[in-house]
Amino acid sequence: MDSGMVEISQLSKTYQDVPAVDHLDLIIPQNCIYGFLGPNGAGKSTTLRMLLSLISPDQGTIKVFGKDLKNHRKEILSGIGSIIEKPDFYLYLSGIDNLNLLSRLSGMRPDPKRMADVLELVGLSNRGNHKVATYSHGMKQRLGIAQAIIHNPRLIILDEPTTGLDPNGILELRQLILNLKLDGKTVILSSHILSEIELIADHLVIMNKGKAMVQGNVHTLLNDQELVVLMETDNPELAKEKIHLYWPSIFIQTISTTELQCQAPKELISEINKVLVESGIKIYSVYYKRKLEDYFFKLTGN
Amino acid sequence: MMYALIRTELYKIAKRPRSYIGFVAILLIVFIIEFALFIDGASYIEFIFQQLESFLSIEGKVLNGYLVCFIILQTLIIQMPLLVALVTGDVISGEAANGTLRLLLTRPVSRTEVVMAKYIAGSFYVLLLLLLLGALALGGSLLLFGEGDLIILKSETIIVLKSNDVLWRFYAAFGIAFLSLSVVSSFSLMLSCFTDNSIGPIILTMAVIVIFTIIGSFDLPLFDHIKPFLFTSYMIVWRNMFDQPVDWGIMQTSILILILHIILFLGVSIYYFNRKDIHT
Repeated sequence: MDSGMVEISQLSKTYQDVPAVDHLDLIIPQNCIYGFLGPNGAGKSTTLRMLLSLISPDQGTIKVFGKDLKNHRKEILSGIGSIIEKPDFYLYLSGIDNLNLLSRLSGMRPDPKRMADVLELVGLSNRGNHKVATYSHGMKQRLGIAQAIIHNPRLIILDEPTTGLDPNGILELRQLILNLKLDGKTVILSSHILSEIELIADHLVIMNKGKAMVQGNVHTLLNDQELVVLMETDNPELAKEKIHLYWPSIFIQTISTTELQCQAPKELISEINKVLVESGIKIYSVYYKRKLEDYFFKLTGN
Repeated sequence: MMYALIRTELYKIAKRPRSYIGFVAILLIVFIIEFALFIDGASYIEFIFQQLESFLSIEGKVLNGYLVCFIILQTLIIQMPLLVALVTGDVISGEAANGTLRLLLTRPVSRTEVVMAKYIAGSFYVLLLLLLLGALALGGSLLLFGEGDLIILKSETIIVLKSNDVLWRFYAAFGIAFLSLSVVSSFSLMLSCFTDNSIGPIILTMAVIVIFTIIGSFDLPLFDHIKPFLFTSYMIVWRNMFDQPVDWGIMQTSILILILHIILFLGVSIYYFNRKDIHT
């Protein structure tokens, strides 16, 4: 793997003898969408907070843009935009005032054109002058995304960015994240919505109990996995016998009078379908569960 | 970056409704005192000086702008620190409670710069409060009551200061008041670093000042040993500017102790804040 945009080595943080992050090693490549997955308490937020120097690690090193975070904190933070957990703002200021204030702290002069572009991008053009106290949660979330990208950072960290967004907003955000990648940015995306990560991330880490259970390219990781395939048929028992006859090692079970479930590699699905149809069994539907979901549950034991 | 941070902090202070409570309170208190003394001041002064008439003959205009300003300062000295704590007591804890501290600290600013910017902005707020107080209490009183010699009754002495010898003393008194209130500001800022609770440091600052002031006002031998260690003991030295002659030794020591307190409180704030994990 190339030298990463972010390189984390042996990172640890313990709270009252309970390890929140436990000797974590991580490499986040440049110009990718990196999914951060894990159940609650897995150590995702603690890791992201350490990456932003909000929390000091007990041990380990973090390198961003090839530089040590401890010694080049200001330089590194000027190239990062982030939303951590929930979008909090100065409620007594307008959206534009908040963005101006934060971009000034990022070393930028207030730029009305950039401001208008970013507000347009997140769909807040007509509410920018209103006080944030009057915003809905979804609007605050959009403003959160705006503040994360206003200073044109190279690395963007989005922790649960879809919370509070309506389906349209989620779709727009997904497109925005993909566009950011096309612009050459690196996006770290932490989310509980596994399908979201599966759709747009090209690399991921699954964390559990402070450790990285697995990390790497999404397609490489998921293609190694067998799928859980659900079939709707007129005769599940006969279908089960036929599949077992041809592929004895496949795990298979009937789950209702019309449904059958088996675990098989993706490329075998069409073969199974062909055998069943040729045996006179009617197949009404074949679909498989999200791969990442199964993979995640298998790894985290949840 | 420091300039941008200070500007940001001042902007936030200016935009918060709470910041104006202090200005309104000063406006009201000064107006009420000046109005009351303007209407009924002569009989008030007559009552105070009644007991002195047997051995002292007083001529001229006793109730003048300088005396009214002195009375106002005496009255406001307890309230001013409370008004300052209201704004500076939650500059860090309030942001921690609201989650905006996270926003601030993920920008390329050092934590030391954040603490210093908040202190400087708080000091600027204190300065504005004192300028308003000076304009209303000194300027307003001189306009309403005119000039005159300042007669002050201390516990065992009467001090008479010629009118042409008073103004500079007020300027110096306001300067010392600024230093004293800066101690309060740095103290509340320090408490604000220790917690993520917005209101706690404000209440704690007020409680400490009230308790220390009460201890300082009692002439008990036990308290006499404690008083030198209370910063509030040095916050009232502005009164010594109206002694004749001024004891510059006491003034210098007190000013030095006040400055040392500011350095101590800021030092603790910076040390702690730089090591604090931000979980909110």
